[in-house]
Amino acid sequence: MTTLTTPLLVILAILLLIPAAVVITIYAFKGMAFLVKQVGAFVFGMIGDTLRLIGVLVTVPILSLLVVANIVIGRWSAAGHFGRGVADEVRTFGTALYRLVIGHPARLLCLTPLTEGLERRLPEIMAAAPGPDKPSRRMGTFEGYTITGSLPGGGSGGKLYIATPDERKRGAFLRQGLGEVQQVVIKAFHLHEGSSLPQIVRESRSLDSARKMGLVLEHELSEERFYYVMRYAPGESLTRVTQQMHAMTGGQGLSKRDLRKALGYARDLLDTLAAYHAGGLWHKDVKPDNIIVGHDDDGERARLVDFGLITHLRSAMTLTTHGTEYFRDPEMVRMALRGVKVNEVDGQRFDVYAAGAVLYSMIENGFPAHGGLSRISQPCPEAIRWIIRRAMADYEKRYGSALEMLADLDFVLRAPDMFAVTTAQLPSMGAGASVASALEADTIDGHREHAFAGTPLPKTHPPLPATPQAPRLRLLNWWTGAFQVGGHDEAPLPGVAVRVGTPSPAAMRASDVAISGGKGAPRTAREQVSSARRRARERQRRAHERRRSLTGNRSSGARLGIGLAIVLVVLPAIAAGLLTVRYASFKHGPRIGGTYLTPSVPIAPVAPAPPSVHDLAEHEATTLARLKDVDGKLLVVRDATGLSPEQRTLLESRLAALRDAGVEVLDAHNSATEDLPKITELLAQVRRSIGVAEARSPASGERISHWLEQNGEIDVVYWIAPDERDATRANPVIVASGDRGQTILNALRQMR
Amino acid sequence: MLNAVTTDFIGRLRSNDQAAWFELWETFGPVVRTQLMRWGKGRIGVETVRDLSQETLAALSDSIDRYDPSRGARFSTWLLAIAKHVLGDEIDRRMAQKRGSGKKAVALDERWATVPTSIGADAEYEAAVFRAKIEAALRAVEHEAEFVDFSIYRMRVLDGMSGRDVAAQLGVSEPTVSRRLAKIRDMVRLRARGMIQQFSFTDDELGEAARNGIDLNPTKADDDLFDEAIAEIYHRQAELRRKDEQAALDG
Repeated sequence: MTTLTTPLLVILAILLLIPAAVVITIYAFKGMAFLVKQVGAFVFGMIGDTLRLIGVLVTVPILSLLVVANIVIGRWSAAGHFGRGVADEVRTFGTALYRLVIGHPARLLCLTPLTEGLERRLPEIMAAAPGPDKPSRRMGTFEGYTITGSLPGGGSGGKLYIATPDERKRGAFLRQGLGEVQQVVIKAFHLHEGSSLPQIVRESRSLDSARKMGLVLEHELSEERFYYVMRYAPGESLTRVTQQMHAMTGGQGLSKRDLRKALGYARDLLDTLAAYHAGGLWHKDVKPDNIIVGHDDDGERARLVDFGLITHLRSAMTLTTHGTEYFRDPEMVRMALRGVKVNEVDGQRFDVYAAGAVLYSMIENGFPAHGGLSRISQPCPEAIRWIIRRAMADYEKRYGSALEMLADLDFVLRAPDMFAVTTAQLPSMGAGASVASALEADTIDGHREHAFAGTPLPKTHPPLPATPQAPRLRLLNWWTGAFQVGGHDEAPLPGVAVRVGTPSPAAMRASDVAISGGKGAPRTAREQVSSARRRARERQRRAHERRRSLTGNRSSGARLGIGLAIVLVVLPAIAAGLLTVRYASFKHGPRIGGTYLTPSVPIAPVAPAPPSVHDLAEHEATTLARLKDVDGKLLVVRDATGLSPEQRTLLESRLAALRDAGVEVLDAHNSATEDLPKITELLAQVRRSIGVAEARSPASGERISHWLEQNGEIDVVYWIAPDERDATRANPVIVASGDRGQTILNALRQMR
Repeated sequence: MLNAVTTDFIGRLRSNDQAAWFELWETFGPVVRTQLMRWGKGRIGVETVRDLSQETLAALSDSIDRYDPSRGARFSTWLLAIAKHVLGDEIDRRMAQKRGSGKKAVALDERWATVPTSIGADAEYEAAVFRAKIEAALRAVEHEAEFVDFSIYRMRVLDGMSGRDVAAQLGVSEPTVSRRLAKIRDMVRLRARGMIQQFSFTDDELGEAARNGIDLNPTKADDDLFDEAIAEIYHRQAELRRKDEQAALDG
């Protein structure tokens, strides 16, 4: 038995030892390879850096000689260039020396974590450090302010200084109704201090808007320098506050207490955004870094800062892609790439998207890298998930206003147990009734729509905005851009916000302070804006009088002369141009290929088929006769900008024919000055109605038709889109509504 | 062979349609960034990777006219080749600067100076490209569908909630949830097919749908498998995006 057991044990031991030996050998080889790699990297690193040091020691004297030589012969620019070369070499020397003494030996001994502080964290901290507490000599001083500190600059290239205004300035702010101002932040740009002209232009463009709301106290622009002054909001950035809150739970999400705090910050943000939007502005750069959490009389609260991108909701400028990735709506980028104008979209929806992204970042402690599809993995009430997703949904599907989102958020915040709140209970869901009934209704009548591109408007959404959410601005002067906020009484902000989501008194007070800086009874945003405008007009009048008293009448006389000369030259030129176009229209007749669309007829591209002159004349005679009795209105939307002269002439001739027949053609390119504001408003509405969709898509046809029905004033929309195959040709989309619209549409069909 | 959808998309790129370029960037930007990070690990910083991924598309824009569909290259390989070319250019540029111009980068770690010799597409990259196509399909459906319908789909399939919980959240019945879910599922199915066609040059790429469980029959049994496959792809892609974002945070 023993003789049999012993060989078996030996065999077993061998069988066990072989795999063990193999594993040990593999690991030994791996270890050796690692050692060789480490030693190799160390040796080569040391040799390389030693040679680099020697190279620097050779290069620096040569460069220094060149610096001195250029100074001697007076070539200052060249001397500066070589001087920068010396500085670079010295920096290289320092880093090479660091690697020789610390970096490479530490890596050889696998002590990389020890050097991380020096190699990674230190440069990061240094890069984020505020600039010098005093402005450079080149930047100069700021009259009326004593600089007391500085803040880290943002991405715009501006330098930020904390300052105290002197007595005279404080008195001036008080007289302007801006309240007591103890400390301010001065954001300054200098062409020779890291700022570029486009940055300065962009920032200065937004300032008048911000000043109107009292967000900016004053600004000054000189040849090389530009600065503006804002109130100082002491506190931590929301990014840092969020990181601190998440650090408390070790990455397990926010605690219930912190969650409530975070939602409170979001409420403050929405409250402020609602005030901006009511004042006709949108912020455009809402992100955690631009939100400062600090204490004031009402307790802890979040304030929105940095007005560098703030924009009029009705600005005629083209949308830009400025903003911050992840917090900037990707659809805004698409629209900007398409050259859409600001007044053609609802800018407040982009702020709403950003507010949703900020809320996401607080919950997740990260960026919404997936846009609207971003996953929410941290514990959070389902209703809050819904609010975030609704805010970051598609342009047309998200909350129509900050107030609407605020109402939902407020509802969750007021609940004793936030996790018990269901989505169906949210105010924007009509307390569940509307959505549930709309969804269940499908079961009853068996209606099933197959929604793809070209889906009719969703039943569960409020109707597409015929600009109900945006404040109605009345343009007082087209050329100067002066406007007046109004129309809220006639068109209240929609839905739930008014019914349920009225901001809490504390929030409203905080908002008032944020906007006006004044004290006393809370005023509505509209009253504040009106008051600010009144004061601004009064200041403008006084400034104008001062200028007149200083410059005398001669300059104004000269201006009058110049104005008259322009009028005398330009008006005859315009008249001659119009006559030429009219003549050409009668000579050539219309030959534009197009697509005709009625609400019930799907769009199908029609190949352009130029008719003969004889046919055209016959058709037009019949058409014009039929149109004589029509009291219709046609809105022209021009998207095709690169049309050939011939195409332009043909298009104008068709519009001229319609005008002659008695149709009121509302065309921004060919209208009286006093009609332009109204036409601009209509264009903005109709463009917004289709959102980012192509004008030629079936969905757009439905939406324009819907807009026509809502509007009631316009009978036909004549959308001149460029031909997909040939950008020099027009390919109009025509949508008609009602009997009058149908008559005009039929006439247009025959004209073609 | 190249299909009509792809040809149309390439045509849009060639005619410098900004929206098409943005679509390409939005869909494949993170994949390219991740790949560049893998290649340039320890050699180039995150900011450079972000710049390079943009340069990749710029280079793509330059080379689009020279693209020859008859060569039979995969879409993913084509994208990768250009990214590789851009990365190579960047490393060459840095080496050249280091040698002579006096404008050397001030990185403390110089390991990037070693040029990698073998850069090639691997299974991980190919899978990421495929997932990006499905993600683009989900995004398209999100764009087209009603918000409530897509939310039901998201809660049920992507978040893994039960039909009963979804119904309770929205205050509707379970059959309603099932019906809306089926509607969005059909849209996802159709859109996924469209996206795969748009961004595929070869038959092998077209066959990826079947290999990943996306090309199943619309039957009750297969619907569950389809949902599972979509959810897995979504979560993997979300993880890729999270890593991409984390890399940005870490600097």
